[in-house]
Amino acid sequence: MFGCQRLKRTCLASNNGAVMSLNVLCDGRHEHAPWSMTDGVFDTSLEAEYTPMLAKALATTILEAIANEYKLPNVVQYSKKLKLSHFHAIAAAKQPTKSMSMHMVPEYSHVIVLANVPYWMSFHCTNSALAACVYLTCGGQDIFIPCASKLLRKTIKKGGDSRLFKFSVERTPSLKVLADAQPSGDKVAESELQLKCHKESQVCKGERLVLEQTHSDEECADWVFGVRWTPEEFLRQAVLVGHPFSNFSGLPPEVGAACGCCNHDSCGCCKQ
Amino acid sequence: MTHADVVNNRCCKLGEWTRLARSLQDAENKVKAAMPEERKRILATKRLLLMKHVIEVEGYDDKTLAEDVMHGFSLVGEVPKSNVLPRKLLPAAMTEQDLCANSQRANLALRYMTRSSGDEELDDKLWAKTVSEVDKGWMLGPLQWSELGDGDTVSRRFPLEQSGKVRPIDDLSQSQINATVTCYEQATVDGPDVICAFATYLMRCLADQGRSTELLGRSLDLASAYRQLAIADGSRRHAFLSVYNPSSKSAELFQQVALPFGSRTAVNAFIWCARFLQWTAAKCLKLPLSCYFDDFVSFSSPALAGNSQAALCLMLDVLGWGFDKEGPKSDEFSLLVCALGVQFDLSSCKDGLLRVCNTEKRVQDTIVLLDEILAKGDLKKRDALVLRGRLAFCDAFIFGRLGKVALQEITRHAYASSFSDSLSNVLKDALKLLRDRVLRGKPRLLSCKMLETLFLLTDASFDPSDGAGLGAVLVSSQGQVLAWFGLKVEIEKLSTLLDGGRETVIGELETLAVAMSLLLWADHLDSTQLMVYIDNEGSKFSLIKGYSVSRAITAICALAATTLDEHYVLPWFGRIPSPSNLADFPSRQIKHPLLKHNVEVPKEEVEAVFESSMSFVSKAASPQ
Repeated sequence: MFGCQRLKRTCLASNNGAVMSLNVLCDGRHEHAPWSMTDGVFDTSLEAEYTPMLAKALATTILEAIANEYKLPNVVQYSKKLKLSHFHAIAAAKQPTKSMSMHMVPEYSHVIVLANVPYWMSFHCTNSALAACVYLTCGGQDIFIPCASKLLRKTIKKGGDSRLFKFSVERTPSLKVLADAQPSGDKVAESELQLKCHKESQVCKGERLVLEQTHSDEECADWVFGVRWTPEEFLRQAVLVGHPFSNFSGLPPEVGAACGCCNHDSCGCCKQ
Repeated sequence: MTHADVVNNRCCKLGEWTRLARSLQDAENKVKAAMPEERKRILATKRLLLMKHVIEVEGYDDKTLAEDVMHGFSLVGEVPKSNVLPRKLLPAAMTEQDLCANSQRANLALRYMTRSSGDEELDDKLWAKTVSEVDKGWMLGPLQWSELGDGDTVSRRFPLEQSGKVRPIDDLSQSQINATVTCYEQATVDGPDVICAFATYLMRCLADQGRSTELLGRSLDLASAYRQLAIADGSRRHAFLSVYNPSSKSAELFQQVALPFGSRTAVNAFIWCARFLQWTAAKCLKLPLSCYFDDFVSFSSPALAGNSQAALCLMLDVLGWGFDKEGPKSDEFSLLVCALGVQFDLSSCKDGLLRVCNTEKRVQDTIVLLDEILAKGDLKKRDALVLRGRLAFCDAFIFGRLGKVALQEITRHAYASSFSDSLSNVLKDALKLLRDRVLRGKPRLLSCKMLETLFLLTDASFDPSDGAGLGAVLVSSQGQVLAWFGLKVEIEKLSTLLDGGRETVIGELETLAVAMSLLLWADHLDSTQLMVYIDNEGSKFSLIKGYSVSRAITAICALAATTLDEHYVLPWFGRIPSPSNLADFPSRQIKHPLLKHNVEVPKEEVEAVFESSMSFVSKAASPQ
């Protein structure tokens, strides 16, 4: 079920129960290559490596388990573990020396996923960056992909199954989202951030694409783009998120609340 | 008014608990009467039904903690989930059945392995400690070895000398008891960082209300921490200890009743209880505490300090937890708090500043150690790693970032590919610098004030044929460009960095752009929080750590660190992707509408800083 040429069982040992979701048996709806020996090499050695599909399924499963464990919405953003000690250090005005997966200003303002795009439709990229803005129309919906967006992934899917064209746009959060000392009052401003051309003050020759059908059973591809900040937007965003030393208390919630309560004139929680 | 509310709330709560404890006394006695004599003795002072009441009524997430304390904690198998600690799975390596199956042979081997530590005085002290624990009811014995049943497990007790005292360690890892434990949670504690954060956060809360930020603090130690909790009856068969008797010169057998120091489950069990006490004080009494195993630290405004002292002690008394009320470990709210080997000086809190430094004892011990090493002139690998750990802890509480570079020299020595014990001149200098920092370094200073935040964006470009470009933009907290520069550097001027036939020096140049910006705009940056955005990950991490494998980058980091320290700048180094970097434009001599001519730094000024920086790097990075 994970792209092996031959019928083969794989055994995984893990301390994460989430891998049990990979526990599937072959549905028998496809043919397998026979087991044999070719030029003195057993076929078993050809099947020793994890297939790309299995590797991806395993990685996705683990990432989702981590995201679920930490109640984090974006799997890719939080793939590296956030440690409690990171927040303790920040609250004590020290930058952790270990790499943190979350940046103050994230690498991309948005991540755009276009799923099941017919294979004939292509997006022109130079050095993995979209050359011009794309205005895509499909089933009455307009999708805008700014120029300079980075192509993060392109996955080709074979034809045969009827697939519906889908798209999603996700904001990538900054480290400040996790702040507890000064709840960010700028969440509204963040949510209002719009997609726009990377060239801002200059004129970009956009490309218009139209998808007549919302589904297809031909070969298709998933395209994932990371939308770059313009220098101006980045600066605005940097000012908005500020400096992390002011944002974290490093304290358990009840202790933080007790600090605030002991000294808060309007705190009514102690009043009987 | 607010303080009165807090005091009234504490009085109400503690009064209610005291009355409840009295009314529950009969039921409490019945619960204890049903316990085996040994467990009853350990838990004699605990008010378990009151604890249960607090958990239920106040809504603590670890619902079964009171029952767990009542029944004692298992030493083997699965540790129950508390729902109050972060999740982390640590699976068992073997089953309890396997442990029992091997125990007979293992016990015999362990009995004959129990020998003198090689120091008669240490052996005597360990034996005396063990006997005194029997007197206190924490263990039973000496027992006959023939009393051991099938599947009973024995662990070895050995002495560990710490600061002139002997701490008995029960090695439950060697006996493989710890290998049978599966934990689903991580036992977290509040280290010095949390204590610092606690004091500054409290000051910030006070300042927000327009009150004085004066603070007093105290530390509190629970007495004989683990020994206040009992082992579950089912685990007593795994609680046997083999202790060397210096009189008979043989191994004697004991059985633990209280939780042992050395058990994996005991750590979690104790942390659950400590976190419960911390939560109860904070949630019910509005009394914030930090918790590091059995060490609690509390800060309070002077007006509430007396009440906090009384409330904290009464809370522990009424719940039946023993703590040091007199002697060296007892404490009262004051301007100086010593905890975890660190000294928190609260005398400047009225100005919003917390000073944190090493305790006098730690300073003296470290100086003696460094003097010995410098006098001897050699340092073995193992000793180097121990020294690095000790100095890294010390250096964390000394103001400034220069110590990190010196610490790196000890690491280099320990991991040198052709290792030699003898100290190199570079290492001697590093040790002397660290000695000086430990002895004379300024305490680490934390401020509760909301310092102004500035933003620095830097970039560099490099072309082997065309030379390099450096650019930087300084931005105000409102997002206005305060100043910027762009500098084109001829390839000949980079000879210092290109030594040894190197083809690219982009890492060095990216780091240099930051150091030069700090030097150029040092006066703008005085006492600010600075967000430095760089588009080179290597440079970013070098600047965070303070060193790199490249000596030139390490020298540039030292240059940057010196400027940051001198001007009390609190930096954070962040990533900026190149296409979003405004500094990319001046580094390539390209114009941008945001970069106005009137805020451009004169070229001569930038060139002068470049020359002086390269001169510094040239001297610092040359082999010694």
